[in-house]
Amino acid sequence: MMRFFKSRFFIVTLCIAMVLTVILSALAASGHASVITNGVNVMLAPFSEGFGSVGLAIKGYKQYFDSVDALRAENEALKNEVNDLKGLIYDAEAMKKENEFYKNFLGIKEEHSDYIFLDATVINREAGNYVSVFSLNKGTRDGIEKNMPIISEGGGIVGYISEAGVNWAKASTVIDTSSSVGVYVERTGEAGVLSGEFSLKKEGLCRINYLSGDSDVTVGDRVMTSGLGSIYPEGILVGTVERVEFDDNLRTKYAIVRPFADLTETERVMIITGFEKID
Amino acid sequence: MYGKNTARTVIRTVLSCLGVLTCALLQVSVFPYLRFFGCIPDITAACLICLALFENEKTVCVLSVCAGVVLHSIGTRGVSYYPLLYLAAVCVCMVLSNVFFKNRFLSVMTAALITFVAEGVLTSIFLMSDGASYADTFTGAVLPQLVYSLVCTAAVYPICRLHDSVFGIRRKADYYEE
Repeated sequence: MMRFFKSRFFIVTLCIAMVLTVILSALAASGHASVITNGVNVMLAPFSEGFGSVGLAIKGYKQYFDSVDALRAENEALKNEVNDLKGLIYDAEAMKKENEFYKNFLGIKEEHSDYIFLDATVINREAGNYVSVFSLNKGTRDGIEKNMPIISEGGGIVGYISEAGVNWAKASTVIDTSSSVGVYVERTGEAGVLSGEFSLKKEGLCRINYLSGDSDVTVGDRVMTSGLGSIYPEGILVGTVERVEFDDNLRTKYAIVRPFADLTETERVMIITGFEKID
Repeated sequence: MYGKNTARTVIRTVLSCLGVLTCALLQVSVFPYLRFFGCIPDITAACLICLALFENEKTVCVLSVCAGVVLHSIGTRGVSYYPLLYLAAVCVCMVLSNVFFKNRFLSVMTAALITFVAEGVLTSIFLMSDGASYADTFTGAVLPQLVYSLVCTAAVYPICRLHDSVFGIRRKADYYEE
């Protein structure tokens, strides 16, 4: 084997390799293309082109898969962003609602400066299509007592506290059959008693009984609390008259009233813990 | 009989040249898109080292110098060490297979390891002269290229062996034994 390395052929080859290395390096360093480099490139140009297209095809496939990965990652990031934004929107909506509530609350407070209010949140509702009873998150430790009136954030009567626990209270709404509110029709001044009726509960309505036969009450009239009965203060909006009909005896009339407060949608209410009662 | 052997030798040599040329073209056109940690394997060297086991010494020496010139011409800029490096690589492989190892694959892989380490050292020198740190050079360029090139050598070896089994007509070093 060693004979080959001592042979003239190998020594000549080695010398050629060294000379080529020096020449090629020197020419490349000086920025000139040698005859050899030119010749090789000219001869191999067609082949280089063919192999180059293979390389480009591989690059295309690679980029395709790379872009799929990138798109997946982007999709995931966008999903996370959407979730974050949804959370922000939810928070913003909650804050907006709260803001509106406190705005209304402030309005009512300014309107009835003699009332003492306590805001509460509805935590449970009666199962069913209509709401006549619901639970609140405030109780006796917050100063809640039985028979305290409750109004909605819009200022309409909701009902009263029918039961109070330490940190909870149950409210009966004006459409509950146990409810009985002294009211008057704002336009005519006619007084009556608003009470719940089982047949009207489904529609979320209640009725004013014992209106006189020649009563002038018409559809759209606003009904207010009269303050009689010692539960509700005077002058709080109850609802609007939906229809007026004669009783069976045809001598008296009754009016069907739609409460101003939306009992199915109410989330926050205000409990009036103190006001001047009319005896 | 003589004519048949000459024809086989010519075909064998032409195929070897085409194989090396293909490797050089693949190295500069296809493998840049199949990088491993940013490195391209030296499959031209891998092919030459494998051929050094099966091909005639003279042929493989000339082929290695030519391959070095071709690779320098089509794929590199600046200082060219490929003709000398490739010639050294095939010589190392020939010595290993004739003097130290009986196992051909072991000879190839050892020669490849020595060659790629030498190539790594040369690469490091050039990279560090450009301001790169030793650690960055070793982990970012030398080591991945060494591993990738060794893997490619192991892949090229069976092809060269197949080539030898089809066109092999005489054993290495017979020329000098005569």
